[in-house]
Amino acid sequence: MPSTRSAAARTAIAPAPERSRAPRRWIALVPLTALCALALTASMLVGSRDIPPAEVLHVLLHPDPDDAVSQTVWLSRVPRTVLVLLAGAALGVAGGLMQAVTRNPMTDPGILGVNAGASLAVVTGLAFFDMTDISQYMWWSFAGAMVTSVIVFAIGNSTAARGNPVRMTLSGVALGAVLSGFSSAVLLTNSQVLERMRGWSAGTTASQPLDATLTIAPLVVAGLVIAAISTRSLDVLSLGEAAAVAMGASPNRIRLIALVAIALLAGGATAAAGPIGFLGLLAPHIARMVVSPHQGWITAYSVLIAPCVLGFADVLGRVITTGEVPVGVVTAFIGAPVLIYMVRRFRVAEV
Amino acid sequence: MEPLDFGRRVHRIGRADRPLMLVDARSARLCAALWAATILLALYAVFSGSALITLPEALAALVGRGDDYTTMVVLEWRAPRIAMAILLGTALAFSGAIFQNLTANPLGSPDVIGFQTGSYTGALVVMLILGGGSIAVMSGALIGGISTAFVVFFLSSKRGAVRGVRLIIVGIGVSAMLGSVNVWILLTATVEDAIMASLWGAGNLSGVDWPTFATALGGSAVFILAAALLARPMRVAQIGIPFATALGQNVRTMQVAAIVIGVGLTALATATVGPISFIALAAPQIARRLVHADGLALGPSAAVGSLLLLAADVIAQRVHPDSPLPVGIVTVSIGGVYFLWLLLREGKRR
Repeated sequence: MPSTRSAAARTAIAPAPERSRAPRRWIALVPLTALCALALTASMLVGSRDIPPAEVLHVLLHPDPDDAVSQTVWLSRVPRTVLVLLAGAALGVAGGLMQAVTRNPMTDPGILGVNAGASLAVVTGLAFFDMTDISQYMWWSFAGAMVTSVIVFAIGNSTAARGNPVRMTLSGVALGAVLSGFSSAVLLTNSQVLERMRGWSAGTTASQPLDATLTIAPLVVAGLVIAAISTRSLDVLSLGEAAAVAMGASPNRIRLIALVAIALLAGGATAAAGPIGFLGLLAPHIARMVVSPHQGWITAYSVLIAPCVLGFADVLGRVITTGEVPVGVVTAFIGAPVLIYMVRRFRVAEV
Repeated sequence: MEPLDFGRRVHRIGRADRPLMLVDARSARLCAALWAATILLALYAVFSGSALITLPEALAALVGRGDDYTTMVVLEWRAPRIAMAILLGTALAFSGAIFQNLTANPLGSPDVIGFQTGSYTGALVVMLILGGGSIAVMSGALIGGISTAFVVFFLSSKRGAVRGVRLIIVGIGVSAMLGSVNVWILLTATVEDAIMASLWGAGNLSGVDWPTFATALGGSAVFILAAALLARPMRVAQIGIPFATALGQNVRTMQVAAIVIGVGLTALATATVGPISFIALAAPQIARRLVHADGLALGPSAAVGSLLLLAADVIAQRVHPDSPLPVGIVTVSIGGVYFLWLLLREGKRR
């Protein structure tokens, strides 16, 4: 019942923009999909080893384990491209969910400490529990992300002033700092783990083989499905606590479901690619500029925008110097100026 | 004339009808308790540690009657480190309180808006790319921190005005960029160099001697004094900038002075011992919640900051005697957990 009531409420409140925006939303999807495909193609074609496009296509269709070119494509470029798609979509959607749940546009799983929680769980698993395989520590990553987001949410939401963004951000930043402090304590006293985790902790798509990337796929897909299902109720929540309750929604249940989705997405992406920042902030913002506040469309657009940005950032990192710049560094260099531009250009809600 | 009722106990210093200074009773009691705790902890830090020295021996060394070995351990190794922790705790807490007051936002503290990350970048460039000694690293950190502050203020000012929230978000953005530069520089180095640089980057009080302390004291004494003088105009400006202007205050000069002092204190502390995060963020907030003040409380902030940093350093040395942790990691842990607990308790009570 709640869903029909909320749908009725929406059409009653705002029928006109709904109709006028609909074609624009569909039309903008076309160039976006093309751009995303272009980013993924570039990720397949560009790398330290020069391989002509025709040959890439050939070895893709006819894999040959003894051929060096085929090995490069199948062991390096394919896993990276798949990871760009998965981690990108996961982080973009997780950011959109986080912004909807906290009702704060300037937030993402990185700022609220969720990535730090996932990282700490992974570091702990590697250092103290002899984990080596992603299928083991991926669950730790998920649990770390889940526990962190619940704690941040519980602290930020415990006052009479529910969902106060300042308290929420404050507790997120504080918890994130504490958890990264614990991570560095473990890493600094354990040089073996440090050696292994160094690349990962910058946020990179280069370190995982294909089967490791595919291991996190179910986690990410589950998160995406939950996110897609919960878009309607998040729209109801965006009207405010009182209005949501009046429409028969249960705000705490909506938030809890969204937090599970965030943990699945952020935990999965962090386990495979390390803490990549700013993607979750950027993608929903670009989406919101095109589609206006409508959680379903924001989610759909984020799924395309985030891998697109991550793909181009990854390709840029491969070609910009002789070595390779980790993609987490590149996204920070793309995301931070956009963030700064946004706060200078637009009026920002108080953080 | 009937004295003004402030709704809480206030000590009046000076003439009864025109007091020189008003001291909040709760704040005075709290400061006394915190400084007493700091002194007790300092005494504990003097006689405990890996070298076996008893309390009477340590006290004898302090007044100049110990044997050579004890005097060396106590006066040359332990005392400067303790003094440095107290000094820098005050410096960082002042800097945090000033910035939180200017931005009217608890997140506006120098460790969140990237000055310390900038210092770390400067130090890393010197350590791992240019390859300089400790003086060069210090100057690199100083230059890095101050230029980061300049860039953040430049990017967040619009038509000459800096607004709190914009400053914080620009700061978070700049600090994320610099943070990823740091990670990248560390990645290009060997593991040994990376560990050494990371130890500096987590904030480390080991190896502090009297000359270093004297330099830090000389530099920060000016700023600390200036901050104390600035406390009153800053409290007035907190009520409202139009109000402060109407009272005849030159708000703009006050703000510029406050920024210079705040940046100076953080840059100095970071250049001396590395980026010790979280004191600047947490100490003023903890102090505010302890004294039930709604704004700038420099005295209690300094007391909390010193106690926090000293306690963190003592714990950092004792928890793992073989491989002492960098103090910054402990400050984050203790300060962060306590701060979260305060936030949670505050939420429950309402």
